[in-house]
Amino acid sequence: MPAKKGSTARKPSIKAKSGAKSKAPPKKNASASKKAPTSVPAKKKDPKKSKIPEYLEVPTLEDDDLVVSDEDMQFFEEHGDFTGFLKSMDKKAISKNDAIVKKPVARAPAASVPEPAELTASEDEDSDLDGDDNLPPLSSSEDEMEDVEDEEDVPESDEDMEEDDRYAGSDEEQDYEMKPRKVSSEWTKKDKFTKLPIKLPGGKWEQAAEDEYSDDDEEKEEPVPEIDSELSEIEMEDPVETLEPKKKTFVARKEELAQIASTIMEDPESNIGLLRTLKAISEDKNPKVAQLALLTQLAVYKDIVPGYRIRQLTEKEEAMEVSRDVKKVRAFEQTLLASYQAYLTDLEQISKRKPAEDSEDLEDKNAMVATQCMCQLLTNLTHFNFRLNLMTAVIAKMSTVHWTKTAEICCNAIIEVFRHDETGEASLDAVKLISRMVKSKGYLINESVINTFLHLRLKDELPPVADNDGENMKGKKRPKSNRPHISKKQRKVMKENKEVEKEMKEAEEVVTKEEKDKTHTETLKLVFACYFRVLKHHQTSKLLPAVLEGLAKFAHLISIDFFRDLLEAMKAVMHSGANTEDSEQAPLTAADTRRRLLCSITAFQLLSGQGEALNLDLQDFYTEIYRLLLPMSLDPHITDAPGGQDTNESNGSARPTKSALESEAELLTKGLELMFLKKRHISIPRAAAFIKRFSTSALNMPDNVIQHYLTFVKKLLTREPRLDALVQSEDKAGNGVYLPTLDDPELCNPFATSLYELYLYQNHYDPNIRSLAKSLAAFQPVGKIVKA
Amino acid sequence: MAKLKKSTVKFQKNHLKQTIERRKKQQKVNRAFKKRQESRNRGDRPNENGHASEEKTDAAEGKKSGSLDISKLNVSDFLNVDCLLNDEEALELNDDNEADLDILDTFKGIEDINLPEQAEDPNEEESDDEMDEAEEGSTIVTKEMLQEWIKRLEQTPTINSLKDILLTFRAMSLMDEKYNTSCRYQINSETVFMKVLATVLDTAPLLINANLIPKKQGGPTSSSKWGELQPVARLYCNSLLRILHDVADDELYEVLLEQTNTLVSYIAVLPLARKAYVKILLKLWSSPMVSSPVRLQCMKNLCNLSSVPIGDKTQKKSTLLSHVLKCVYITYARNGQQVFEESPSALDEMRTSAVSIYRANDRHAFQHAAVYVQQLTQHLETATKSKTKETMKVVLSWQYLNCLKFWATIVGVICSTAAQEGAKPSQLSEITYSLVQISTQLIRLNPSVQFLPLRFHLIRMLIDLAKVTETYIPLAPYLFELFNLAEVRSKPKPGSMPSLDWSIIIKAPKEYLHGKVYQNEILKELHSCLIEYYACYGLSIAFPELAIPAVVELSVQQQRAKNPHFMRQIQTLKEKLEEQSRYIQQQRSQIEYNPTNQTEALAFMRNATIDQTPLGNLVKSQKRAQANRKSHK
Repeated sequence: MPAKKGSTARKPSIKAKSGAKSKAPPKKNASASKKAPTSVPAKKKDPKKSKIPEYLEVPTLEDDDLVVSDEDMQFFEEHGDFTGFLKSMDKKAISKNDAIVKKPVARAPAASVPEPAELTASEDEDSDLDGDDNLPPLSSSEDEMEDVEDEEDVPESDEDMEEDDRYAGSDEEQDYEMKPRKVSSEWTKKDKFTKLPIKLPGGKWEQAAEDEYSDDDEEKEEPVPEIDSELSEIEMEDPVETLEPKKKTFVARKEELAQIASTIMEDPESNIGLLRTLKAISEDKNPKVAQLALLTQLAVYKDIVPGYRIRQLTEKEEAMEVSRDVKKVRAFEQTLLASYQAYLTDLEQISKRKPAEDSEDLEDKNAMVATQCMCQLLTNLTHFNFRLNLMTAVIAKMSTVHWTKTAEICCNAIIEVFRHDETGEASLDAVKLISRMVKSKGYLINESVINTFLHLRLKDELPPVADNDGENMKGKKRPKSNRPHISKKQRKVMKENKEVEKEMKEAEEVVTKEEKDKTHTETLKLVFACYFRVLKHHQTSKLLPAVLEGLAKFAHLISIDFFRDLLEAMKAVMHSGANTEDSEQAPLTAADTRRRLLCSITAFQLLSGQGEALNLDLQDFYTEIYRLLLPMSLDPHITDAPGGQDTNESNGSARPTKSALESEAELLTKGLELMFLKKRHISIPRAAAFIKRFSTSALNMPDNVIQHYLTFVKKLLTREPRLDALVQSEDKAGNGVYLPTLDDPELCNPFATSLYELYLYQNHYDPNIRSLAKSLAAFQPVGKIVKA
Repeated sequence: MAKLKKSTVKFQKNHLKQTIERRKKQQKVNRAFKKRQESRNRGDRPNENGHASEEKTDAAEGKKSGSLDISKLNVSDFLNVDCLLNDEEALELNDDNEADLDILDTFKGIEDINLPEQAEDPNEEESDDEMDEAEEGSTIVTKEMLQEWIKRLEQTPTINSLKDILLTFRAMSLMDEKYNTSCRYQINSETVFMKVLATVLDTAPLLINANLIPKKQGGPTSSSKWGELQPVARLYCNSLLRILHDVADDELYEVLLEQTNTLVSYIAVLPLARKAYVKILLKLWSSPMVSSPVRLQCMKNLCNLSSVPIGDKTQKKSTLLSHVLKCVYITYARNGQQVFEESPSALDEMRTSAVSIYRANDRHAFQHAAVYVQQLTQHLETATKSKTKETMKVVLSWQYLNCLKFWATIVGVICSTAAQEGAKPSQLSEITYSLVQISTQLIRLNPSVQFLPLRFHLIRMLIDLAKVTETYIPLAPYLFELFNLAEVRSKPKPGSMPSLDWSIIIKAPKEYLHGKVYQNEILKELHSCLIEYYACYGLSIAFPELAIPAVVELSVQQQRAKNPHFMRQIQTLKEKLEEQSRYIQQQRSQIEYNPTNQTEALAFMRNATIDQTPLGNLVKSQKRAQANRKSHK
């Protein structure tokens, strides 16, 4: 820990000195570079200083000074040598000019090297994360390879950068870096690329061929009209009050923006400097112009950012002489990175702006645009540098209790990231950040945040725990017994082959299943940790439905050891509302009903798969659903998607995430199926009681529920011929009286009555239900036929 | 009392009734005549005639320029045009000429027709106020001339002698029109008017009928003399229709309607006449100014007309039915746009009377119902999707509600009578599903408090539908939902506003919202709807099951209710439901119920009436209370 604090303290001094010692760079650069170093720390400090109560920042320094998580400790154990490195670092840095200082900061999250910036908890986690994903992908190895290959003289402009890179390097890193490079250089000698990769419609990256140039042109032109449409949109909003000259300058600005954008896109490598101009325009006083500039930059970056992550060059690489082409590429990359970071900093700052007090809007328009830009960048350039910074900013926006449009956009962006995440790494990062945010906010957030977890690609891609274990066990045993004999020579060849194959795979950037599983498991752990914490400590929280839904969805991935605790927790949750209910005689609210249903369903789902081995008593859950059936019957909204009543109309945009949730009626049928159809052994009186009560309450329910009910009963009758006593009168199984209002399925004596409701169902206004009911009435179970 | 003279007795015996009737008729006509004169002088006409005068002048000037006619629309056209067509009152009856009657100079009519005796009208001597000077080219018919014509008619009762009277009759019918100069005769006295009318009505149909005896199973066209006499019949029919269109008197309507009903076979084969006839009948049928017997008669005439073959050469058996059905619905829909104090009953009458015509042909009725209900569904769908103000306005309107009610009545009545008579079930029962779907969707479309009256209208409609068709429609959730409304739960603002008549509103006025009056009204409606709904299934074998959730919910609500009066009401309702449940349970324990066997369930309580059951008593007392309230008002 001391290292951490030390570094925080030291940082400002670097800047002060570097500022003083800086050479006088060209005018334009000066303004840009001066801004950058100041703006970067500002961005990072803001979390602490800003007094925006609405937004929660990613865990702050104070927070983590007090509570050091296990992860942090672990990190420092693993990377203990880094701390020493940190101490020795800044001396070199003192001699840097400001342009150089800017870069390491800018690159911080991208490089695996922890740098002497303030290490807040989140940041050191960031670097931790980055360490993992620094496996050399194809693209980065390729540009390294180019470095090695070309041995042309270096243009002057790159000197700064080289120095900078030297500073960033470390011995360990170099060894690590060297390995793949050798191989890849050999490998790529066959076909040398001079072009940047292009993105294919499927989201994969491919090296552009020489003759595809014309296609490129077309592609590049596309974003321009897009910007134009955005321009015109904003122009439409523009009130007429603008005076004539103002209008003229606005139009001129617009044209300027379009001009610059198209110039950059035509040839990004030589016109990269123009990005600064764009940035300058984005600071225009006219909010419209600023918005336009932001959007233009968005489009430009989306277009010119390469399909790989730009890696910090090691010292050795710096020292190596490289060809002019490589130099050019490097210069391009560094400038791009720097201006990209500057852009992000701007965006983040703008997005934090509060609306003017006199304006009626809840959110500042520029802030809105900035947030949109960030979300777009996050979803489109997930692979690129500064992903974590982007995510942090976006997730911070989601922490509002009052669900705003901005939060909605951010949420959707995160969902998008989850959905399109092939490797699982981005998801892991996002989940980490979200769970931190949720924790520090004290679980007082909108449930949509938790609902984003539902879109993780865990369910399909991660095999269930039990199955996985079993397969592994089998897989280990079998090969041993019947493995063919292999000679030493063969083994050697095989080993070599394996290595080659491994490298090939790495080069292909195909994520292996194991790696994927690893990241997924990590993600899952975080998600469950979040869920369990809510279950145990925040039983009345609004997040509960979301959590239960999540648990139900990922039930098959939960380890069996947790089951007992989990069920206990859910029972507690289920009965938590009961006490208040009895005293006030208030009817169950929709949320209450939902919570109970979800609890029960989750419980049954947990026990339906691997849980069948455990013989746990679920009586409580049966009774709960049984009790719920009657009041639900008179609720006309049971087929509506949840949340319809809670959200006010202004939040109409909040629909898409809501529709992912199931309505109460769907939950009910799902629950019943889990209870009776999916289980091996069912208690006959209990099933009969449920059939009778469900048929009573379904009388008042909408058509589709009745249809579900009737098919359910039919299935159940087919399975259990003894239930036929409800339909047939000849053999009344039970004596005594049926107690329709008793809330206990075990004691209500269902066999004393008959399914009189079928009469009404056979006269139902819906012809489908009529025919279903008729077929049910005419139903003859297999056992019956045998008897007859 | 002095003994009556023999002649008086004879007169009493034979002619008194007739004479009195005629006198009455005449008085009415006089009044109508005067009224018309006045209104013409004033330059406008009574309300229901609207733009008629203008349009008539239009029609007179540019007859050939065919204006938009309902009858020209086929179903798909109608769907595009929507049901909001403008009222069309101009009669396009211009195919008769005076020259038509010249044929009578040479025509050899059938003789020996017994004409009814013309009773002398003692009122004849009444002073006549002579009116406008005769215009050039036409003679004013005087009493003397008329006497002479009648005498001639009595002497030689053939159709030929009718010529002058018919000409006068035509002139009479054209009095309103601008082209009455073209007539040979003119009338300026009410007495003459009445006299001509009476004579013509009595004699003309007889004479025409006698001359045009149709061949077996054919229309009048099959008669051998049709070719010659067609202009005469046409002239007569046209004149009759014109007069029917112009008069404004209930009794005269009845007489004229009866008259036209006998002539229906002629009208049906005259294209222009039948179009005009349908229009007139629909106008009278839908007019709230006309007494209900007249309107019923109109519907009867329409039925009659639509059952007569129209004698197209291509399709021998084609009738006007489809066209008439369409027009009936459109007319109804147009009338249902707005609802005033007296219109609910008028619309109700229209609905029930329209049943008779839809009953005529099940296939046609189903086709029409399906198309128009589909159209209603489409409106609702667009409203649900777009949720714009305009689309919502379309469905949350009286017209929409009235159209729904129309089909509900048609479907309900036809299906239930079919079931009673043991006939094969009507195809119309398939419409029930769509109607219920539309209604429930409409209820959910705008659940705001303001539209509660609409919800109650719909629920009552569905309850009625369920009752007559004996289908099960779950409505309880929509009623019990109201218990939890803030409007019902919260303490109302005190206020002393006049109570609302829920039968004529679908949307509560803003000033009533959150008021005590409104809350009480809601509770009252809710209570009565609950009673009606459960009484509807009171005799069903599954009633105890149906009542279980209701009883549970009611006992919860009873404890929460703040209004003591309402609490008591809920209490009684709950008790009655329980009693009824016990009663049914007791009854059904006696039979061997078996869900597989519907006959038992169907026969169950078939012979009992709800009135003797606990719930039935509640319904009765409820009805009594309602009647009391109405009489108080």
